[in-house]
Amino acid sequence: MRKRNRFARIGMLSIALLLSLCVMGIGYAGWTDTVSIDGTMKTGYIEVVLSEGGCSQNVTASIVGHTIDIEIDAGCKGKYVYHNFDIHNRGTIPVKIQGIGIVCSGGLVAEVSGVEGGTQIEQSGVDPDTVYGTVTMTVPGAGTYTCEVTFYFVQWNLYEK
Amino acid sequence: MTRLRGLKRQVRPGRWLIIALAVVVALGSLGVAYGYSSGTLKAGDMMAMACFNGPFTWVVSNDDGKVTNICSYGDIDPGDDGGGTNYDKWGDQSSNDPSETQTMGVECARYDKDVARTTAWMSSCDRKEITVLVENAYPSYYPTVFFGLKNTQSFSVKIKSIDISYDIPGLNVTFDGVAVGDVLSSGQEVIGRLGIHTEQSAHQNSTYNVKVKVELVQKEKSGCGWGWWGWWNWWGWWGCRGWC
Repeated sequence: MRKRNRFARIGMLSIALLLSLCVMGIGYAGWTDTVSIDGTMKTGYIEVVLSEGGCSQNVTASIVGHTIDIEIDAGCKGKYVYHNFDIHNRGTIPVKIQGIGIVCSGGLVAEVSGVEGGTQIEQSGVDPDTVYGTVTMTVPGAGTYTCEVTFYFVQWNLYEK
Repeated sequence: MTRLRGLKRQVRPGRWLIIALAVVVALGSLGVAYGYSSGTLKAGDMMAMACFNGPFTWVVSNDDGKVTNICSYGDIDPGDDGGGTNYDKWGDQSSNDPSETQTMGVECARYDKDVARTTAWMSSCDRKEITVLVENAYPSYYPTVFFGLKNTQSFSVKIKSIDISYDIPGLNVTFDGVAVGDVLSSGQEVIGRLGIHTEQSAHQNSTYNVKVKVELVQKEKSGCGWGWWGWWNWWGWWGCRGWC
């Protein structure tokens, strides 16, 4: 009887150990790990500034954003008047002129020279980060006229002809 | 009754049951504690001590100005030659900007200017984290980061989840080469690829964050049958290697 009792004790201990190791197995199966990629993206910027240059007599101009508002008090027909301007890119991304819009009053004809659609202006500090242009106008007769010249800029690689 | 009392006296199950339960609870607790710590101790602390053999084996950016050669794979990012054809903001620290995601070992389309730059590096000693820095990005800039992910464990692991998050709508982040459900056998390495495409809706002069989290779990399921094998596989191997 004593012998049988010992076997019972050993049996119980064995079962206990087996169960414990099973629990360890469950603990082990809980293994998990995480790896990660952390990215930081800093974007650049475009900052194009239009500035007035010189202009002929009887011409006044003001700049709002990327638009030049010109007013002409012309004396007679056919007189050519002009207004100079420069475009400076203060940003970190090169730009191109996507288009130039001209809207004039009273039959005034205006054209822009020096720059055109597709002209590239490099970012600040890189030549040429400034380009120069002229608005030349022909008046149909004596009188007061207005002309609005607007520039549209795009990031250099998004330019579309 | 006398016979039953005699039997009780002989076996005395109460005392032994308590001892057995105590052993079960003690070893069970050890097992649970082991299970909890293994996630960090094994892959983190132990590797941190050695500083090698982590899950990320290498990382390469295709716009950091150098073509990187990884043994057995060759040149990872051909075309990343440090040049800037019509503009070279970063010198040899970056190349003409990629305009599409790159396939490993194959040149990709690039713009003729080096305006933006992307660098990537292993940011922790245990090689569990990669940091990517994109500078002076603009819409249509499309750098690619390649990396090696290796199962350094002695057993197979499975990709349980991949969580990609970023705080900008319109940013297009692609992640491939590693997919949920993939199983990596012990020692197996896979090549992952992260593409970050800046889209038109990105704001200028801003900082954005992108995070990719990959969760790895042991492939095999647990259970009493697995317990012995799991115990030996982990404790026998790592225990002996680490401490014996």
